[in-house]
Amino acid sequence: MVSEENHPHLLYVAWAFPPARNAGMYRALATANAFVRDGWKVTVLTATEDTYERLTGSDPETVKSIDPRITVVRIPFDPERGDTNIGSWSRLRVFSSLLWNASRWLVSLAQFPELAYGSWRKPLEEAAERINAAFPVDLVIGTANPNVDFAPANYLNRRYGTPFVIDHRDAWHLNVYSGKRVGERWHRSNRLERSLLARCTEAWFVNEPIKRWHGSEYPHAANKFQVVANGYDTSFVGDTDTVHPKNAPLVFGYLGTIYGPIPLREALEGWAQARALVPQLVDARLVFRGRLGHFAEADQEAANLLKSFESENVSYGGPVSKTQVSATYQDFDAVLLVISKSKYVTSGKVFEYASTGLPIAALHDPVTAATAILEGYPSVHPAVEVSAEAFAEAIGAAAIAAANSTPQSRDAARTWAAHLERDAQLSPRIAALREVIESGRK
Amino acid sequence: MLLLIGGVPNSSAGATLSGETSYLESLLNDNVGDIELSVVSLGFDRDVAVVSQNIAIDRSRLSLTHRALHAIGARALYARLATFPLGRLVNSIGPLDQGRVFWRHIRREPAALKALKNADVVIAADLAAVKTAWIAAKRGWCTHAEYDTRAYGLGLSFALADAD
Repeated sequence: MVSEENHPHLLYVAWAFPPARNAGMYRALATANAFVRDGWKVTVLTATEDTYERLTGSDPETVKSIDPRITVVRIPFDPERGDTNIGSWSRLRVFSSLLWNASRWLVSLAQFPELAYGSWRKPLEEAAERINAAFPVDLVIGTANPNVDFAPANYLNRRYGTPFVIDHRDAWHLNVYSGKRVGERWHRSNRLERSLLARCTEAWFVNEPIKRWHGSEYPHAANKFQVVANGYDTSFVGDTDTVHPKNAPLVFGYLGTIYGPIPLREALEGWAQARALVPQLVDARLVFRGRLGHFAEADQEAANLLKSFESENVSYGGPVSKTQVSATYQDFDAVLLVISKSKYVTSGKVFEYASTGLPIAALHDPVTAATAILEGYPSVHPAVEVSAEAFAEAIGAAAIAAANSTPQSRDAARTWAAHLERDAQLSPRIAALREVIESGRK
Repeated sequence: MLLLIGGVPNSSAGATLSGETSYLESLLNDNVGDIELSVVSLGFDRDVAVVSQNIAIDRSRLSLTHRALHAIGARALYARLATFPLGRLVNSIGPLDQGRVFWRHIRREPAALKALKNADVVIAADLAAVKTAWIAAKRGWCTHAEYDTRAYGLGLSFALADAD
């Protein structure tokens, strides 16, 4: 049943929603905004704002990017975790934080087969019940991870037959870095995923390789699988049309999360080698912006590594609010795409980088899924392998391209990248889902 | 205000470059000149202007419990257990857990104990200092105890390359 003529009600469940600063937040924000622009009534079910301050760090400015027509329902997520007021800590937690964590994980697993997040299942289901009672829900989309975001979809579907969409930003049972299956097929979480995929209206994946893997693992549901790539958000990237002034030192940039699996050391060593070889790089600078690691605490190893290359004109400028992304790219003449090796990893920044029209030094293994995204981009300079030497060569080529960049070359690159815009990825799916909901009404 | 650093100092932990301010830093910035800051640690060797009292605990002065544990080979067992997850869980409830060791050190150091009892706010900069801060809060020695790992970066700053 459609709750209101021409305004189907979407319940969108996302643990990470503004002001969260996780990379996954942007997909959630863009999806909710796109549905509301298409005329849906959108309710977002997410965590309270303090959750991100405690656990992952927050980016308060991003709240302004939520379409005001969206109703945001926030429920607390594990208030004890990340609580820094020691006076409120329990005796058990102080006695042994490991024992305290282990006991909570067991309780959490009993509720939902996902470590650390399972205890959120019940509050999510209760909230979904209230939302549905107040205004019947026509479609639920859960975006993972965490996979507990699928719990309201599961609940409303079982109880009321509400159709739902599974949106995987990574994968539940595929390790996208190693390419190996996570957990046994008979495991509880795997059985739940199989059941969800059998009952869902659609399941979204961020790239073709991940979709293919799921197609081979769950052939019974493969006809529902769709690729909804990440894309870039025009509202954040904006115009980055500054052209490098003649004779000014080049500025290379990296904007994104700086963490363990990326070949950071090779990139830095490659940078140092390239500076010694390429005249355009003698006075050039390399600026890293973004979070050090995925959590509120900084990744110390990455921090130390960056610091050790200060003498090579490498600097770390701290995290950037998403609202400052456009201004940050204005300062760069070329960008380094440093991502980990995996045929399943596209990364979000590849889309954003392409949208700038800047020369890109692609410093990753060629098998990485991002390679396919940039095929045809007019100024991509890929490394042939992961090594300081290969990276130096790619950086050198990007430096020459940056020094010779013109407004026309930037425009051509941006024009090419237009198909990577996020709305271009979402529009076909929104139209298809509207059709499903409307046909269900007839 | 008292900053407790319970772990063994190491250079990598000092590089807190998260780009975010700590609870301690915020308090210091909001109350310039109004805060008397003491540090109790196993060796905090940075010279920081805002620190009025730097109490370094002498680790060589072992308690009777500690000496007894060493004598029966508990230290070696602890090191062995620390190499696998379940062992670390066992270690965390044993007498050589860093939090318990630090609290025993504090009790044997009159200056540290006095600073703890006189502080209004106690900040634990690492997990090893939490037990001590918690005891201070529960016994009413301080009005607030905070867990702030970024406070470990006190006195450090990351030098950004100049744009020019």
